[in-house]
Amino acid sequence: MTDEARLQCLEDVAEIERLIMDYARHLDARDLHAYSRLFCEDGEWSGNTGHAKGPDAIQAMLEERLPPNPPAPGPTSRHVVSNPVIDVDGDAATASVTWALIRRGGGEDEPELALLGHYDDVLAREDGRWRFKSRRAHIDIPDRPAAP
Amino acid sequence: MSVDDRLRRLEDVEAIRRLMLAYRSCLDAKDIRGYAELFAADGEFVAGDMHARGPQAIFDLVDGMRGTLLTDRGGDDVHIVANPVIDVDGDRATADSMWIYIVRGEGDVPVLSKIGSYHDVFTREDGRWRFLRREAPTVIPAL
Repeated sequence: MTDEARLQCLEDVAEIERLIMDYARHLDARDLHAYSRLFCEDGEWSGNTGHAKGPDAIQAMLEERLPPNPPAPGPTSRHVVSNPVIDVDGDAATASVTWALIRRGGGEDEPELALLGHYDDVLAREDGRWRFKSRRAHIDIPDRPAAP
Repeated sequence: MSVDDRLRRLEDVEAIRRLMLAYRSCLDAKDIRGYAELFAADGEFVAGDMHARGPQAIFDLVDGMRGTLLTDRGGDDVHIVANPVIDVDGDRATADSMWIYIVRGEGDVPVLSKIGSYHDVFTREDGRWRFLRREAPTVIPAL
């Protein structure tokens, strides 16, 4: 590999890691416009909330189905994202990521670990920026049937 | 951007990531002197109503948290740093991340005690990255 190709690969991994973190940040802030723009024009999201294709459809689905995330005393929640494994191949990439949802406990003002799962991602470079081509969100604990 | 600039950017992001981890390792080891030295000469630390500026004032504030907001002894509490988003612009940088605070609970079990966020501004001082400002608000519990 040339020095240029090696450098590009490191930059690509860093940018995809950033994309994965921006996803959690925009989602928890319920900035669903910014969140949906992290997907390709034909990017797909699937999980327990449903399935949608394209940024506008993804935004509309989450606006309809995702509960608000109010600060205290509301049921505040945060996605914790870890263990990213990213493989880049030119203008395409794949990633797997662990996520955990921490929320304010029922009736108690303390954090509780509510859900644990993983993401399977396909990424693509579109207009010079990495975006999600598809993201499949799986819940692993508690054990639930896979999303259709 | 030149190859040199591109390498520098990657190195800066990595150095800042290390600084964020040094912060938690000093704090959790109760090396509060080492912790305070991670701040710039006029660096600020803000958590809720608490505020301090400069390494000595920050040392005094955080050392005073031992036995109350922090465990007194190293090894009895851990900060996990997650979801880092780091932006570098020359000799300044900013970051957002999350902290998850776990303590040794009754019966010697790990207890998820608190979570919060960090909002940071960094400066390159004498060739090393330092905190110019760190805000560490708690998200849960609401306090």
